[in-house]
Amino acid sequence: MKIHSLLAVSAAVMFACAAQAQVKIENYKPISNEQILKPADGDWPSWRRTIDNQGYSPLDQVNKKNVKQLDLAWAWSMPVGGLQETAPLVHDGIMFLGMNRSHVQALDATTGDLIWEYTQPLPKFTGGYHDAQANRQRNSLALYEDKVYLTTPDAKLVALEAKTGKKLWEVQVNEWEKGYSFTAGPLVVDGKVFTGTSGCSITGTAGGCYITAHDAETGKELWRLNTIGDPAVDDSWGGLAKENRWGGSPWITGSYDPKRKMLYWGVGMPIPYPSILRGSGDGDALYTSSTLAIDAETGKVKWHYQHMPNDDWDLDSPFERVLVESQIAPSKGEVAYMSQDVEPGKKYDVIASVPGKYGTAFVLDRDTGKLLWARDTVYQNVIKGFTEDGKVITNTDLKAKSIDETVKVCGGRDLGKLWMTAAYSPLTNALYVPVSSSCKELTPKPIELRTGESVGAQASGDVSFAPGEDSVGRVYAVDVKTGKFLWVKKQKPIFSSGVLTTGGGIVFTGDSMREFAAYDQNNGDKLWSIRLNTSIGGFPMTYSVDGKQYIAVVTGPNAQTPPAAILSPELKNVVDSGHSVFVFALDDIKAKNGKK
Amino acid sequence: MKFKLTHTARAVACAATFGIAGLAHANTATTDSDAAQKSSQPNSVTLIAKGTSGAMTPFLVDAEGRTLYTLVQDEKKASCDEACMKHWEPVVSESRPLGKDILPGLLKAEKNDKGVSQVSYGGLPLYRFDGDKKPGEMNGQGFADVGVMVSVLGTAEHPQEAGEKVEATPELMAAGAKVFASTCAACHGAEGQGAFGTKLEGFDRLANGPALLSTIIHGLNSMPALGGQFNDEQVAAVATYVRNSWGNKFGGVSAEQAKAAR
Repeated sequence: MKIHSLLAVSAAVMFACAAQAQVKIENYKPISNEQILKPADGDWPSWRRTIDNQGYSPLDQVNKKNVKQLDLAWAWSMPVGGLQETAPLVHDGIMFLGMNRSHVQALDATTGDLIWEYTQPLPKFTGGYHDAQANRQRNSLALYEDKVYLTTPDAKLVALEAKTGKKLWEVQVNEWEKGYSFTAGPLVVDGKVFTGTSGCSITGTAGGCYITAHDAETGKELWRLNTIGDPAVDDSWGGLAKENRWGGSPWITGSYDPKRKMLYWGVGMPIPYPSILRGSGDGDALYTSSTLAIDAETGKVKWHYQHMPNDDWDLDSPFERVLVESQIAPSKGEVAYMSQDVEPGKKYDVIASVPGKYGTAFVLDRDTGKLLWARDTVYQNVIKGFTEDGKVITNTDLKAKSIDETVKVCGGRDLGKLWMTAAYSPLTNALYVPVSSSCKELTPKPIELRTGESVGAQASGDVSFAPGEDSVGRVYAVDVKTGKFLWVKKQKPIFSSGVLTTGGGIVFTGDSMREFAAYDQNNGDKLWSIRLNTSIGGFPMTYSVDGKQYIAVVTGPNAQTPPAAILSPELKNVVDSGHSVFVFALDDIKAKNGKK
Repeated sequence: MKFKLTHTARAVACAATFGIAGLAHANTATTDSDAAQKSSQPNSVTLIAKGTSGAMTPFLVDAEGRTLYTLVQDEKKASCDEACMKHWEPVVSESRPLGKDILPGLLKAEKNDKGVSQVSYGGLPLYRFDGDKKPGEMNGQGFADVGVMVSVLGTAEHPQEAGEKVEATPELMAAGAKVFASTCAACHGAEGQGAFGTKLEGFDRLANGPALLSTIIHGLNSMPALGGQFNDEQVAAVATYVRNSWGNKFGGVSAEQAKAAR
């Protein structure tokens, strides 16, 4: 019986694979603090691999010369839908996937075989906005010691046992019934779990939005910082009482400087979006749209730099803060602002970031918070310029003066920089930033405030290409030292995933038309590409097990696709389901100890 | 009272429990007499809150849940004379008033022509009516042709005509399904389950017909404005469709109502 024996063989193979995965998890080694600070080359234990948020791996087995030979190693269908913002993590040969609706899986990183899975029970959310938060969970996991940490859409911090997926404890960080949630994962280092709250645009959250620290072992809260209610910011809200303030969601995971024991965390926009409905007058509305330098021991703000004072357009500024050491010598013709105090030849500890939807790149001194240089990437009309000492001058001409005034804002409302992260490469000293380029009409719109719904209060009208442009998708390679562009990649589809840089000299990223591609870090040449099943999403990453390097990427829908498809209808030609993991490796590399 | 409200008025629980004293003196340990003394201070915070009643567009109430009004002057009719004004007590606040579930930017306190610092919302000065004896009453609505309740959107809420109920006919539903499939499903999901856009299945905000029509026509936050793309019939059809699909049962919407929302 041919068929029968075939079945028997495949069953035996499956059993062998499962057994191999089981052995691997039983031998799983806890990850030490030192390994978080300096991961093993083959590991990817934190969201951006390292807690400086660089998104760079030193692995170079896959390099510019052989990347063309990448082949599929394994693929895996993810059981949960929604927007695809998953960041796979790998330590000690185990891949951890934190998906939407708080679904977690541990897989054998060499085969994709399932080892365990965990689903956090969620309440029924009131209001469409809060419910949508559960379907856009990004990088929701972190690894530390013997645990996997998970943040949830009902504002909990949960610790699982890495070997079994068993829940060890959970803490309710904020009251989810008010509308609080998490959409971004925790940062765990030096014995502490740091989180940034999401959903502070929801009616019931008035008065507070938080960055918190918890003890990594016990979950005990150590401190919390209110991003819109700290006494230090009271006089920046135009006399508005704390109970009438919204926004300031720190909804992207921050970075950590272990030498200074400082956190660098971005904060989102004030709410309602238009200041005439917000009631904050000419106030800057701190700490919205700012970088915060926070003492990790106490939660006290050491300095802040506001990237978009008194935002009127939902342009946000929470995106990844990347910590880099670099000389600073801005190129005069290129940058919009350069500090006069920069010492030539000196190595600076800086924060390099494109923090907001408007795409402007900023380089800040990590000690003082002073702006060293800034420049635009995509065309924007919301930052008018900079003061002599480096403060942003918001273009107040574009602020609606009455509730029926429509303004046209360029620089990415709904279609600009988003959670798709930049990556830095020490090989080129450049930041590789995915941004979308567009303009949009906006009008203040009084609304009823309802449970679980956003207090945004702005109608959005026509979306258009930026002046002189006929496409939206961009990757900018920005030299951190000079502010010059090494190269710019333009195309119609949006770049819908984060960026990965590797020691092989490659930039990996993907777009909304299913293309996952490798580019040369030096000149942007496309070295390899493949069309997968649907839009490329989440955070591409790389790892190695037993001497073999793997490149992993997830697929599924991106929130910027619909507005991009309004401008380029051919971009609709993608099915918004099929959430998957794809893992590539070089075909002729046999894992050293692969045959167990 | 000149006309009848079509919906039963009820006390507004959220506002009633959100007292002035609780706000002004939170986290302060006080004796009873301290508290009483402080509450009687004239400069304590004035709270204006959202009130609801049936399917009415939500309106403004004070901290005790009492309905608030503005006074409209119809050119053809006599304005509120001295005798009429006796029934209306201006809502005053020396400091900036505090909102509860309303838009803070619309809420102000400015000196009126009598030199009193009167609270306004969306530029409409606010009053209490002496004929309202307890929270939830709306006896001032239409009183002497001048009293009008104020919606949370910052507009004077004229008494609703008992409008004709629109039926969600199979024709309307079919036309709406067509519009929904071609334009809305990409974001809201083919079954209204939500994706990029809000989940519409079981979404009780759809009960508010005018707000839904306005969102379709003018857009809201990330929802694009579709008024230019669709005529009144199509807007009415798709509004009817989302209000009556996937278990939703909110009734139909007419092309006339869509036109009024433009």
